[in-house]
Amino acid sequence: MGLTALEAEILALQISYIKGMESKLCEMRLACDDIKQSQSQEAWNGLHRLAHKLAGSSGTYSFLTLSESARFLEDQMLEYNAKGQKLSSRVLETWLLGLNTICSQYSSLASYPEQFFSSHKQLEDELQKIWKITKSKLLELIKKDIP
Amino acid sequence: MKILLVEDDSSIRAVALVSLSRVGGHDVTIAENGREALKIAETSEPFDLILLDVMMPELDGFETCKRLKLSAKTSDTPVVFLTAKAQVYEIRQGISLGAIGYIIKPFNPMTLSTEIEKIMKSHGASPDVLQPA
Repeated sequence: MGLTALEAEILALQISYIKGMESKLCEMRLACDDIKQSQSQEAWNGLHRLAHKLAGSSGTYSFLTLSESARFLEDQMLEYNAKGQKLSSRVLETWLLGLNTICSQYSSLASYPEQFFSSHKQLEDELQKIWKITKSKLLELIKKDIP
Repeated sequence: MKILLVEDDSSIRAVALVSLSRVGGHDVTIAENGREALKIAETSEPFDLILLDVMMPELDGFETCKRLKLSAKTSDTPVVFLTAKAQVYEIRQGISLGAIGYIIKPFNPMTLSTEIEKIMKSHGASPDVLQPA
């Protein structure tokens, strides 16, 4: 199936976004490390800002599971921050692991751009299953860590 | 329309630019943060619309909107927020600062221009303003 020039342009942007996921993940890791070391509000704000940006941009690029996982962290941080509580290191680590899995799965789409549209929907369905498991694990950990 | 897009995230800038210029046919100028937006808005020919992200370094979107509305040159320029900050109180805050609309991220690149045109129309924009540049 041939793409219009506009579709091809958007596809190129999507592929480029996938290629940039690793560096976004790296920024997230650094922000989590910063929290572990300093536990400062500034460090938490940094991670919150990154999660917020990731949720908005990945969703706009149609990487819906990635967007959902980033939004989850953003919402949890907001909720517990409002109560004067913070998420634990193991929650952040589990979330990062989940994010790593999700991003590495998306990278397969960039390897075969000609199959992008046919593979994307199927991949999102698979990622939703992975995210569902990660999310329930995260909720369980949060429940244990924050009374 | 002549649009000033204010967005710090380069990946959003890229897709919004394609969406507004290629899909909508609009003339788009880009600012990477609020401070840069204020400078551009003060020194350029008036824009038909300023599309403003909220969470940005240097100067956030709410503060930028406040300052745009205080300036004689830009006070009448319509502002629409394009943001993932979608809590009701955040939307209210944006509108109370003088914005005419709120578009929530994630947005659909294929329909962003239509959404903007709808907001502009509902605020009385004349059809010639809405024309592609």
